[in-house]
Amino acid sequence: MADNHDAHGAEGGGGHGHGHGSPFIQHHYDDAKHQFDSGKLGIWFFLTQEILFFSALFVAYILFRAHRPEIFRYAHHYLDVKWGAINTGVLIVSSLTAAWAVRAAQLNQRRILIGCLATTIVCAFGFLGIKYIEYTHKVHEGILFGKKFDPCISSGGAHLITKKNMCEGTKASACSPGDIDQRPDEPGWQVACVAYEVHVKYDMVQGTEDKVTKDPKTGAETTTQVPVTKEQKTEVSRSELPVCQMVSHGAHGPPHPENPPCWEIAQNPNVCKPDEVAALVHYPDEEKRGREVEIDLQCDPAPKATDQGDIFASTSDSGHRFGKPTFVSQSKPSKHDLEMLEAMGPPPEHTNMFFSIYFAMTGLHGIHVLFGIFVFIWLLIRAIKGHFTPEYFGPIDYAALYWHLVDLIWIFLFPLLYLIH
Amino acid sequence: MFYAVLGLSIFFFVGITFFVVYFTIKYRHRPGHKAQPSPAHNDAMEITWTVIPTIICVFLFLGGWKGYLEFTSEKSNPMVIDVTAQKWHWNFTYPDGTQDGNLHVPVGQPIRMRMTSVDVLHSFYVPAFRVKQDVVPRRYTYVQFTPTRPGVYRLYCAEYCGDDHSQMKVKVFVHEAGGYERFLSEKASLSQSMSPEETGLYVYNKKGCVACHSVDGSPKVGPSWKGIWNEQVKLADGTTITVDDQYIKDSVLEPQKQARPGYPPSMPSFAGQLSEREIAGVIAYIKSLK
Amino acid sequence: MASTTATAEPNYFEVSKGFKSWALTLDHKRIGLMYLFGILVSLLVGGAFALLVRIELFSPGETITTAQTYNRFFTLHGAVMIFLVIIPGIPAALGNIMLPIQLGAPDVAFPKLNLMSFYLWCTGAALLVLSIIMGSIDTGWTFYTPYSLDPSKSAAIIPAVFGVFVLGFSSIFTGLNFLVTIHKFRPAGMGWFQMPLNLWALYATALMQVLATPVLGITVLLLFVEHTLHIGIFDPTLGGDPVLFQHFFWFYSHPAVYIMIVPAMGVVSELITTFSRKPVFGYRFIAYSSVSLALLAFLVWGHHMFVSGQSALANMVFSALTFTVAIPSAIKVFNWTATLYKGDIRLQTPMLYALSFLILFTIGGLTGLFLAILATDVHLHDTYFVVAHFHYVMMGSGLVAFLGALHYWWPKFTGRMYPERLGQTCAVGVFIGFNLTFLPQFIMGSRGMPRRYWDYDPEFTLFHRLSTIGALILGISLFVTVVYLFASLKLGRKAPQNPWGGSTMEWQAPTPPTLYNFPEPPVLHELYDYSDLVEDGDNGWVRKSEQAKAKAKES
Repeated sequence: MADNHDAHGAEGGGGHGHGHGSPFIQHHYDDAKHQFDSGKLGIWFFLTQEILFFSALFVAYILFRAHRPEIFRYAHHYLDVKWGAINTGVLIVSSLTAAWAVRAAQLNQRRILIGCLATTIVCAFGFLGIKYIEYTHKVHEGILFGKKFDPCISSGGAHLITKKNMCEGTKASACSPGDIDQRPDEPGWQVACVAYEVHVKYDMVQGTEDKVTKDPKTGAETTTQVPVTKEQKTEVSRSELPVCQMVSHGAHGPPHPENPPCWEIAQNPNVCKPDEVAALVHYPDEEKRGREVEIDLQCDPAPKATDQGDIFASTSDSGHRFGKPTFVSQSKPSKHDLEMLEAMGPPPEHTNMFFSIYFAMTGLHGIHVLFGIFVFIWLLIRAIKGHFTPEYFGPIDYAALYWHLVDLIWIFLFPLLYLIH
Repeated sequence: MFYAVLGLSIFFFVGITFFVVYFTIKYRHRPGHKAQPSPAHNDAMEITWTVIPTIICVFLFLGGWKGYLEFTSEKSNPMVIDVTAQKWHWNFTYPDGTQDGNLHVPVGQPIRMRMTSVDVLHSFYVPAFRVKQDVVPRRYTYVQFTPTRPGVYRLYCAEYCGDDHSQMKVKVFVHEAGGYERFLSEKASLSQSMSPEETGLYVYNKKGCVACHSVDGSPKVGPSWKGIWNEQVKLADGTTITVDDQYIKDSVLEPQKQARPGYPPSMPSFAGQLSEREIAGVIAYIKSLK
Repeated sequence: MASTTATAEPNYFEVSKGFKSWALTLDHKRIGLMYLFGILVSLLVGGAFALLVRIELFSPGETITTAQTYNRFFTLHGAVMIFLVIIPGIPAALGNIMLPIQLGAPDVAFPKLNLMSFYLWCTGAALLVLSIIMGSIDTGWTFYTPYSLDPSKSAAIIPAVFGVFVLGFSSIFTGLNFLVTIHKFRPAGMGWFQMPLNLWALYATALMQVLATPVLGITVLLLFVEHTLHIGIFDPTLGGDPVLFQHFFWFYSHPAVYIMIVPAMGVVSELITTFSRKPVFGYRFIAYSSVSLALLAFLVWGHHMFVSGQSALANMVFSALTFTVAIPSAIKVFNWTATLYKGDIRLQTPMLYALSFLILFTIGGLTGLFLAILATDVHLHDTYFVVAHFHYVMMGSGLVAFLGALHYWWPKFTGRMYPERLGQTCAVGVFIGFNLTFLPQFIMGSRGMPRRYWDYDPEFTLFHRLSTIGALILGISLFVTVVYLFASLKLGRKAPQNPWGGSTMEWQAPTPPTLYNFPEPPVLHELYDYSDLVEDGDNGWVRKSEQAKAKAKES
């Protein structure tokens, strides 16, 4: 290269039009190879830069996840793995066609080149289309970042709370002061989650002594670790569908008079299968709220009463800074139970952070996809005009490399955001 | 440590400057003078002046680390003082619940400050104690020290926090034996004996109201207190309200809820920082400002 | 050699005329000149803000302005000087002009990208101006959260952070361009270790620009969405982490300090060897130390945060790593000093700046030790000691070297000589004014004067006054410098091809260079070999061997 370069220097100054094969070889390069190599090195540096650009978000992800794993565990239920997986597939296909386009240009197969570029563009649009569906869904449901994270105003919520909207219909009554024992300002919230046909509701539990209550209908014994000052009121009704209801109040932060946090899970057999748990979540006192939560797990009042005693007993993880629940019950709940309980409960404090990260990462990635679309359209036009030859195909190669990176970033994002367990 | 490094730095500085100046003069261009051949590199020499600074650096690091550990390691039996920083004042809560805008500590007693901020970053800095620690919202940071000499020292905010950053400085009183207890009891009796207006004036000066509100009618960051009592004022949402007991109390506890237009929403809530008595004092004080 | 051919071909000013020929130029020299113009204007603006800050501090309490305005002044001073002046100063302006010529290349690798970088720079600058119109930022140039999240200041902060984002990309593309140019455009026979040290430094700088700036990009972008969408990643009230911002910010901004200082080291290496008429001492050590500084720069960001609440372990690690930076810096200073030894030193303006650099950088570097030591940093952090330290490094070293380089290459790319006597006077003025400004600040800082204070305790008055007087001297010297440089474009004497007797390739190009720099392929001489160069009156320096050849041809 260097020898050529000197030769070029000699005839340089005159500038353009000195014996290059393609009209797209710029004057200051020695030859096509020199231009191609420079461009390739340039795009590699650019991609390095891109990786670092994303790296800050990955670091933020790691930090927040390390500090508050429960947020991530909880929030991933809001994401639909199906759409994420389809998008992964779409991007991989587009990456393949992008690579194929490079090969086609090298072999001077113009028709295939144009086809590949067009497919890449179509796939990219497909990807953005699916993202659009996901985003609008979230906007509609209020699953956004920051203060806009307010799923309760929506017609559903996490896919655990999907399909039938209970929240909207029952919000007023579920969160009305009457439901919470006429004391809307009291801390604490209750969950009732029962099996088929049984609908149980627990009221405020406050007080100082241990108490064993016997469910009048089923005869199951229930130990409440946190003492009560009041008799537990238990209403039981029957319904045709599985019912699982939660009534929460003051789950995190001081209660908001206009908009009390309200969580319900309704008519979802995935969550509340027969035989499964009922949970009573209780915040011991005002000070500790948001820092330490106790969840009393109770037996399902209906069937399989005999098993219940063994399932929940010991206490695990307590006193977590961000409000990790403490389970106080008779046996250690299984991992599945815990996950399910967590998913049923109100979002941990600052679940909005997950969506900050989610939207920052996928949004930035989406912008990159959009940019890629422009580039590929430009390439498509040039390909139709017949600019690319086996000697001059650099732009396609560079764009394909960029596209692979965009693909690769998604391949990281997909498991990190959608497949958390 | 500081002086050791200072000495070392001066040594290197003088050395390098000497050589630079000496060579410049000795080898300056003059008629007949020519550059003399000298080696273009000398590995032994270059390695020497790579290794020696490295060794020095290792010692400096170890010294600094040791010193740092000394004042960050937990002292036995410290007195814990809670610090709340906000734009632009400090509030110190002593173990018995007494609050004050200045820091009072007994001499010889290890002190541990548990600090948090209600708005932006601040930094607790007492030059005389050689301590500094950022104060971060929604997080506790700690700093500890043992005052060794009685006297009055300065406490600054060292992290830029806005308009009156440079006014966020208060005094540290290191009391002789018994002085700290005297301060507490005086403080208690003072607050008992004060009339509501006096309490209000006291709160105004000590709890940071003075940073944003004037009492002579001139506008500052927030509205002036002068002559607003019983007046109708416009709120940001367009409605009007009369400045009465309830409005003042609400504004102290939830400032943004009934904010007035044209003022930045920078006032923090004083819930938990002012007692009922003190709020009543503020109301009485505003009433007195005709 | 080229003096005859130079007249045969039009130089890059004469090739084409008119606004469009500049606005759409792909010539690296024209782009560099436009940068230079912008940077000098920004320098005067940033300097004016600095003077306003210093005048306000002449007396305690209100001197000329309120605390609020003062906060805007120092914020704008910092933002303008760092993002618009020092970071692009040597690489984008002078590097753009000189890098291809020093390589003997016709242009940078991607001329269009180069022009785009320039327009990004203009956009960024325009956005900063817009933010001044919109009420002006008062966050400090560091934009620390959560202070910078105040929604009532969004109108000014949004254009400012977006401007910084755009400027970041200008910097990234310039760095990328330079990296590829150095890799792919070295002439035959110029291996890595035959490269002038300035190119090593520019290479190291470009590496940092490409690797560090994207992190700043994403950080300010997040700040931008924080203001527009309230995304909450840095907002503690939403569960975000304000200290994370500091980590991200310094991950860029510490390398940014090296983006400012490493190219300065590069040009100083050139200046010292040329004006000592001696090969640089320990070439390899200096080259390696530039690259090692570039790499170490990424490991030390935490030393800006010793009191931010990060863990004691992190503090220990960052303190230890910080010391590693001291070593390559020390090596360079020793090597430069040794280069002077037995030289033939000419105290022309560029050399005066280079010697100022040596002394100021030594002070800046040694005071850095105090800040690397944990025990002393806790006391000195965020005081005037830090202010003085980084001004010694960034301005006393970075800007002084920029001025030295500017004077050194000015004749080459403008074709005119600046007034030498005036230049020397101003160089001395800068040195004295600078020290008078910042030496007292070390004393204030060690006595506990916090930085960014509009008001101060009366015991500091004397030091503040000295500092303000120094700043005025400094300001006047810089202002005169900019004025005489512009004036020399019309009035200056025509510059010879090689006015200083430099041995690197750029001195073989015609003065001013032609469109593609070299009408004839340049000859690669041994690097920093001055034995062949002799002074020839007004023709500057010429090579004996070529003189002899020319004579032989004639006869």
